[in-house]
Amino acid sequence: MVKVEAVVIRERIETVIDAVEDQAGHIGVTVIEAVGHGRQRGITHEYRGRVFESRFLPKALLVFVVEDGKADAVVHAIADAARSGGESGDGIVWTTAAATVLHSRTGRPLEEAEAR
Amino acid sequence: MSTADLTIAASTIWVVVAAVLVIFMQAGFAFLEAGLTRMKNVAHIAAKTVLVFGVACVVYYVVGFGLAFGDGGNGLAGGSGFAPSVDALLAVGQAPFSWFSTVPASAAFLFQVAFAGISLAIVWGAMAERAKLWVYLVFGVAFVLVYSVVSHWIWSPDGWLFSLGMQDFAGSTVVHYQGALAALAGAILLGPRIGKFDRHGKPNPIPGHNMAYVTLGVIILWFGWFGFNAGSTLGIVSGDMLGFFGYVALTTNVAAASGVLGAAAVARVALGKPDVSMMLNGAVAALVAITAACGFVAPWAAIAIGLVAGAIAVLGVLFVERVGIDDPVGAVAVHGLSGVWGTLATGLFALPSLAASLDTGRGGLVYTGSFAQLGTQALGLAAVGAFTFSISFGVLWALDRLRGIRVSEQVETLGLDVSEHGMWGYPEFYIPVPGGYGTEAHGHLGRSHPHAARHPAAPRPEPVPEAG
Repeated sequence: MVKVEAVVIRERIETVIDAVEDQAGHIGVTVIEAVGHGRQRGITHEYRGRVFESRFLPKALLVFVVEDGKADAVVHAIADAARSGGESGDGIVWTTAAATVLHSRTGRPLEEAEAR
Repeated sequence: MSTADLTIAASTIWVVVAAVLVIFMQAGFAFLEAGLTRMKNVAHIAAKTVLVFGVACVVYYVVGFGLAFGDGGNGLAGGSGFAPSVDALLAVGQAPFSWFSTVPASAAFLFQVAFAGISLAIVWGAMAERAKLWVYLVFGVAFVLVYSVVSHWIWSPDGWLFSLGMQDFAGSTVVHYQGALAALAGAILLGPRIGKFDRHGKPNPIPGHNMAYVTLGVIILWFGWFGFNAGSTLGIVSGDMLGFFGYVALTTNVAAASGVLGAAAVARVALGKPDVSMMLNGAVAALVAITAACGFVAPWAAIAIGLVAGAIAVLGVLFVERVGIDDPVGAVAVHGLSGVWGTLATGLFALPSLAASLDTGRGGLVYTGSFAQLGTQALGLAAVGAFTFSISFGVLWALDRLRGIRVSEQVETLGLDVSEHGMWGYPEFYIPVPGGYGTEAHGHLGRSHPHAARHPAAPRPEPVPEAG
C-alpha cells in the first residue's frame, strides 16, 4: 500500500478529492487543516499601520492510503486538480510506502472500495 | 413656555431618540451580514457598514436633505436647503424645511439621514464577499442621490406620489424596496461567488459562519425598528391622535413576531427543518413589510402581514437562488419582495379612520371595496422600481466597464479581509499572535490551583521557590 499526501489550497480540497475519485477510482480521504508556505514564503500582513510578514497561509493536508497500482494515477489526478494557474501556492504531492494497513472494523488488510 | 413650545420640545426628544435607534440598526446590519457570510470576509463585511454610513451622512447633508425635503422644488425633487446653514437647521417649520413643523430641521435631518444610511446598508448584502471596496464609496454617493429623489416623491408634500396619496408610513418602498433594487442590480452585475453554482447551474449552499451573530443582528434590527417605524410619526401628536407612536410600535412588534412564526412554519414545511437563518430572516422580512403599513392597519392585519412576510422570506430566498442570482444575505427577498408585499398590503388593509387621521390616502380594499388605494400603491412600486433599478444598474454597469467592480479570483479565494485590508478578521485561526490561541504556556498552574489538584497524576515541574 502507498500513502499519498498532498498540501493544497483550501478552496481546492473538494476538486482534488473529486478528481481522485473520478480519475483514479480511489475512495476515502483524511483532511487536515494546515498552515504553511512554500517558495512564496507566506504573506504580508498589515495591522494599525504596522507591516509584518507571516509564514502562515491556510492550506489543507490530504492523506490517501491507496493500492500500489493506483498510486500513480492518484498522484497525477491530485497535481492536475490542485493547479490553480497562480504563480505559487498550489502545494506539493508525495508518496510514502505504508507497510501495514488494516480496517479497524474487521482487523483485516485494506480493501479498495468500489468506485461508483 | 406655551403648550406649543412644550409639544415641540417633547417631539424633538422623541425624534432624536428614534434617530439614534435607527442609527444603531447599522450594528444590526453589520452582525447580520457578517454572520451570514464566511470567516475570511468577516472584518471587511462588518467594517464597510461603518464606511458607507460615513458616505451617506456627508452626501445627505450636502445634497440629499435638500433634494428630499427642501422647499421650492417640484413633484420630482426638492429645490433648496443644500448644505443647510445653522439658522436653517435650528428653525422649526421655516424655509427651507417648512414641512417639518413639529421638530427643528436639525432633528428631522438626523432622523432622515439615518434612513438614507439604512437604505444604503441594504444594498451591500447582496453584493457581499466579491465587490471591490472603492465601489462602495462611489456607488454610495450615487445611491444616496437616487434615494433622496424617491423619498421626495413619496414623503415630501411636493412629491407627485405623495399628492396621489401613496401610503408608505416609514419606508417599505422608500427605504427597503429601493435598497433591494440596487442590491439586485449589483448581484446581477457581479455574478455569483466562486463555487455558488456548480457547472450544471445547481446551487451550492455557502453557509454563513456564525448564526449567533445573525441572531444578535436581527434582535438589534428589531430593537432599532421601533425608532424606524414609531419615530416616523415625527412627533408626539399625529393629526388628532396623541402619542400615536405607541400604537405604531405595537403593530411593528406584533408583525415581527408573526414573521418569525410564519418563516419557521414555512421553512419546516418547505425545507423539512426550521432553518435558523430563514427564521431570523422572517423577522426582518416582517419588519420590512409592516414598515409601510404600521401607522395604517389594525393589529390583526399586522399579524397577517407578518405571517405572509415570513413565508416570503423563505420562498423568496429560494426563488432568487433558483433563478441563478447569488444573494448571500437574502436582501432581494427580505427587503425587496417583502417591501413590495408591505406596500401592497397597506393598500389592502389600511383603516379608513387612520388614513383620515394621518391625512394620507384612503382606506384599503378590505374596508372600502375600492381598488383605488391598492392602485396607487402599485403605481408607486412600478415607478420606483423602474427609476431606482435602471439608474442603479446603469451606474454600476458604467463603473464595471470603467474599472471593474468585482475583485480578482485570487482576492476572492483568499478572502477580502486579508487581501483588501491585509489582516484576517480572526487572525488567530491562521497566524500565531503574541499571547494568542495556541501559544499558551502550559504547566503554569500552581499546585494550589483547583485544576492542578484534580489531576495529581499529570507530571509537572517542581515549583520554583518563591523569592524572598
